[in-house]
Amino acid sequence: MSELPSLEAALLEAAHRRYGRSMWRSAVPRAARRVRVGAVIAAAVAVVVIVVAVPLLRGTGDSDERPVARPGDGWTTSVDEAHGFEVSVPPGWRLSAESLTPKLTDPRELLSAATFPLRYRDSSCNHVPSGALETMGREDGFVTVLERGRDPGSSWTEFPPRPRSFADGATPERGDVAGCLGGKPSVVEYWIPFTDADRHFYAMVVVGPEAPAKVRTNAFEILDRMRFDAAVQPDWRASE
Amino acid sequence: MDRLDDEELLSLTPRRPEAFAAFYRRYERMLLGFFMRRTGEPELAADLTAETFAAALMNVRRFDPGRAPALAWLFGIAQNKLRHAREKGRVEDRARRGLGMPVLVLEDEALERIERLGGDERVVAWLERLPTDQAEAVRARIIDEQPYSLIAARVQCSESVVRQRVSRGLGRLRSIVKEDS
Repeated sequence: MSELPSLEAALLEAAHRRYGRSMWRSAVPRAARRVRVGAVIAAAVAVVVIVVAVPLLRGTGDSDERPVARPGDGWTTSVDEAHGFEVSVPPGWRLSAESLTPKLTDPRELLSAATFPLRYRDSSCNHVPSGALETMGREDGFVTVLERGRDPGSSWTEFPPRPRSFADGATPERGDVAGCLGGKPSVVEYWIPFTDADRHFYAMVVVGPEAPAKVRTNAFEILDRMRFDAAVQPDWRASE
Repeated sequence: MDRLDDEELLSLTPRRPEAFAAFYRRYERMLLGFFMRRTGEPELAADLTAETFAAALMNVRRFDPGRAPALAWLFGIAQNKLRHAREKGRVEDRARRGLGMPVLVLEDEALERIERLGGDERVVAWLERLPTDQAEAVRARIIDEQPYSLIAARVQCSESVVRQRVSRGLGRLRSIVKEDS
């Protein structure tokens, strides 16, 4: 409770007026933007050259029609050989440098990416990155991919083959994220189990309630562009 | 929001404006007390507090956590506003006008509360005789009633160190008060 509630209210109103929906307007002056775009295109071309020169990951299907890094689209590709995957993120998104669910033993977090800075924070929920999501804005997007451990006796029926397009048929659901965030600004969650390269994954997409369509599109396209190496299998057992 | 540190609240503000309200609530009393002790006038203290937070809100995108902690940045703005008020004989309202904020109107009750935040002049004088870290800890915990966790986060040390400073500071204060009387 503040001493001057009228001042607090005036500041909050001023903050909404000033910052409102300004997130997607570029703060970079035009001239600097041209230089930046040129640098990004040059970097994207370099990435494509490297990707073509290095053998692609094996075991991702006979007919690979999924998107690859396109010159000039500004996406950045990262390869994690130890965990057997490749991920690309568009401009405005960044990968987390640390696990956001370090206490989760199965499934295990492979990667997380978002339109806002990601940092692990302890929270009441160990199985979802709710601590990191506390700083998610109403227009932000978040993606995480988790992998299940080995279970030779399982038929994995609840993990259908990877879809051609993760966006197609994806339906939002009232999952754990909103509950773990204490019911604060409502977010839109998608939870997608899938199998690829003989490995079994969960993909979770979370978008803010006022996120532009492009944020949702980008989130699913991050998943579409992922590649998994069948030669790198989980080295832990799945939990019951 | 309350679990986010100061730097996170400020960097979140352009995407979640309510984060600035959380930052405001965290330091409103501290700033009011700061200005009250230095001006002796509750209305002036309120005006300076309003202008300081308005300036912080206006410039939140320029805040660089690598250069200074958020509280140091806020108090830097506060010091500038106070210095300007002393030089010009009035509180500037450039930031409030720029944000379209209404003029602050205070009731007597609010003015009395602000006056109390300034504390007893003798207490202020006694605190100034303590080592800086003890004075800061005692002021934050006893006068501003801040939780140990917040004080520890701001001064970047453990809660147990803060508790020690408060305990030692209060011990020294007892000796100072005894000497003076």
